[in-house]
Amino acid sequence: MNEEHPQVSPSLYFFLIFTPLMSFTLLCYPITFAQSIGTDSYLGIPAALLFALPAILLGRYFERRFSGKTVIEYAPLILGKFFGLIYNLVYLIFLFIILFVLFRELTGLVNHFLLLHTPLWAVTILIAGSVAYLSFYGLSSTARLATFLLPAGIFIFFMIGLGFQNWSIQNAVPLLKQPVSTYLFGGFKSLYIFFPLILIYQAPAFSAEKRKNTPLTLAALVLTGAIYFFNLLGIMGVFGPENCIRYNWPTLEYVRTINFPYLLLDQIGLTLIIAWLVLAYATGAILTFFLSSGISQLWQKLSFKKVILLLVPVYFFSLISFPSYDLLRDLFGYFQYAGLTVLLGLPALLWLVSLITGRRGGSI
Amino acid sequence: MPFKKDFEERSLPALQSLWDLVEKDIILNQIELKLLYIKGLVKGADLTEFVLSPLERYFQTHTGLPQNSDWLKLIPSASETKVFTAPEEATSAILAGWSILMAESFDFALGFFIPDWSVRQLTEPDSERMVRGPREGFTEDLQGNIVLVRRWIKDPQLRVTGMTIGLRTKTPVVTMYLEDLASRQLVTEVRRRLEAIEIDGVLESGYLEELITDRRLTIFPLIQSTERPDKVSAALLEGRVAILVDKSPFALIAPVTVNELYQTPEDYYLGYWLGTLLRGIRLLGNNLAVTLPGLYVALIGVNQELLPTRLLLTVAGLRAGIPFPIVIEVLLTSFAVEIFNETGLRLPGPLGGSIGVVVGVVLGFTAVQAGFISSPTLVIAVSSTIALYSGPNFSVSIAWRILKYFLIIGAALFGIYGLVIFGVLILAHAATLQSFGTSYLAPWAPLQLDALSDGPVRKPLWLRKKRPVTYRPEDLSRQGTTKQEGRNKKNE
Repeated sequence: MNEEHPQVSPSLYFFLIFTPLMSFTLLCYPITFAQSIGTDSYLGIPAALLFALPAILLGRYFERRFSGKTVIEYAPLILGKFFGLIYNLVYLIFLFIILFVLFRELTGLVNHFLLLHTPLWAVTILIAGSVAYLSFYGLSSTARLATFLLPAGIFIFFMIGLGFQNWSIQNAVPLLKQPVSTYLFGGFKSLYIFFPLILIYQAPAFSAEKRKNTPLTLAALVLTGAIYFFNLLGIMGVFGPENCIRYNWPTLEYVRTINFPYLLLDQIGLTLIIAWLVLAYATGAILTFFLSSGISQLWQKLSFKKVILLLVPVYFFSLISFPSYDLLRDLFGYFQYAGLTVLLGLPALLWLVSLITGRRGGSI
Repeated sequence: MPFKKDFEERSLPALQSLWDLVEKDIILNQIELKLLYIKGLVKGADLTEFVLSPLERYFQTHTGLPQNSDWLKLIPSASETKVFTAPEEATSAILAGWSILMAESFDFALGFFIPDWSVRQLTEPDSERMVRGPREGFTEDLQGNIVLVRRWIKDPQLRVTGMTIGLRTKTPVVTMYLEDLASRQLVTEVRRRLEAIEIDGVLESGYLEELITDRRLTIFPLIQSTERPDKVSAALLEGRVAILVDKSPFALIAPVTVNELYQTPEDYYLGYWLGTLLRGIRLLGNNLAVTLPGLYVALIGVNQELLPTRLLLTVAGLRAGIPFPIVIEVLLTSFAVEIFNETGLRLPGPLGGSIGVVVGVVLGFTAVQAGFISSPTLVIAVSSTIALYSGPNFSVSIAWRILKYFLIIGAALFGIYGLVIFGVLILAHAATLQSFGTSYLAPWAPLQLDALSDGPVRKPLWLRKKRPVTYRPEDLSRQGTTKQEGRNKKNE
């Protein structure tokens, strides 16, 4: 483990996992569920949860065998120096891609709703700079920030609840009309909602109370799943699958259906955007920290702070070189499969190699 | 070498240049004594009555010198006595208000502390007024301030440790804590930081606050300051450490978290429903004070589409003809209100109030009529300024004032988005802060549910079984059972 960072308490660890899970695809995930499953697409959430569980088990295995080590440290121990390096590069590149998707989602939303005439580069500079600042002071402060933003998460949950105002059961039934395989496939295809879970290959090394890591990760996953389920249930009941897939951000549109006659602001959706933005920033900071920490572990001459500074222009140029938001949606399929590989496939391979070669680290 | 001779060679020449030094050579029963003190710092009549008269009486009946240990027994009425063996110590003591008596053949000097300076009466602190609660605040007298706290906490575990800071002012500074409650690490850290200070003078506790804070460049107060002894006592009972400085009515309390920035002791004097309401009002007030002008700039200047059409039209109508863009208008109005506010604070009481009325009613109204500023902007600026003072004390409001301008700039640049980003940056900065090893955002982050239960909602006293873990007290248990046995039966 990188000695530069203090260990975080269990509550901070929980928010390190929960905040990215909760915010990563909150606004857009209903589209893939609606496309794959239909009216009762919310039943795909438990299926996605089911597919995410092996990742937690794998994370637990590595955490117990290589206690206090991140994937950057134990992958070379299992695969050897060269293949370990390749493994870690793939892992870090994917972490970067998750960040990229998040930031592109963020810039798209801001450009679409809040700063309609501001050039993309200006929004991008603001995002890259502020996320770098948020993560610059290390894991503890980043985790504290994520924890402090808990009210934003509660507020989102509250908004989702209020969205049931226009809910109609006709839009959300029939239940289990599709064969079970459809729900399983829909859940598997939509597993990307839990991609930030790849942090379980890095974050446990920074936790002060290792034995609580797995229960806390599981709690974060189940809580996120519950919120996503509840939200999707509401969206299906309000829009139905056909209308849902017409929107770029169905969750946002769902919240915008809330009607308060005496509300000062015309667009209630704005409050959701604000709440999501702050969570997305915290997520960006957490992921940036782990990305820079991973890179600094790989190239030990670079401190994580230097890496963060180097990442700012990388974020900037990669985001402005990707001007079309629709292109992101077109390429999303590749992202889904790449993520499945990094979240489940490669760690499973690592586990197998570990079992076969007997490179199992310390005792449990 | 005898003390007197040593003193006369090494220290007396420097002291003799002092205009107000009193140097008396006394011969009692053929023994030469020298008495030194600073005029005005020592009560001359008491010195004669309680020091010189007993000595005179002694020598009327005795021929030889008293034994070393008997000297101080001769003068039992003197308020505080001490034996000095080094001339430098005696010199410092004279400058601090001690009277020093030395005899020809002795290798020590006697010191008597009979101060004669005026002490301000106990009054309610202007910056922390309360409806219910004690009406006494600290004064500039350190000893008196210690007594005020001692009158609250009559526990032998209450420790008062002192030191002197300031090469020239030699300001007495004491730390107060409860030995069995305050964390050892915290006490050690406070002392370490205080002892590390090398400065020529400490004129107010604000000096120490700035010098021992965890992060010197932050605008957030990382040490709590208060004029209220009950607030200090409450902090000591939570396992925190108080620092009292001579000549300063402001005590410092460490550590502090954001949770303390909207709480007052009065919350616990008024019952939990009202306490909770007051905390809610303060929280809302502080948030409005910081965000309202920024939100106004964002909604009127950048994101007009987010306002209901009728409201937007009303504001636009009232702003028609205003020669400044919204951000300049808000900044100008806010600066003007700040200037008048500052002026009102410095002016003598009744005059300050009058100026407030003149500014608020006459000047504001005239400025709107003249078309320099619009009435909504004035409403926002004044509301924000008033809301600033809903917090428990002045130092907190200073931080909010600065943050308000930061958010106005963010809102002017990027509208609501800028407001959010700049707000998150402020939070991120706050997340990096620690106060003596305690997270500044505690108990929100890290989440400490038990401590948080006495946060925005004031916890009933009968449920406050434990001290907040935030300050890592040595003993978490705050109270046993508070049930009144048989009460319910009786009521029935």
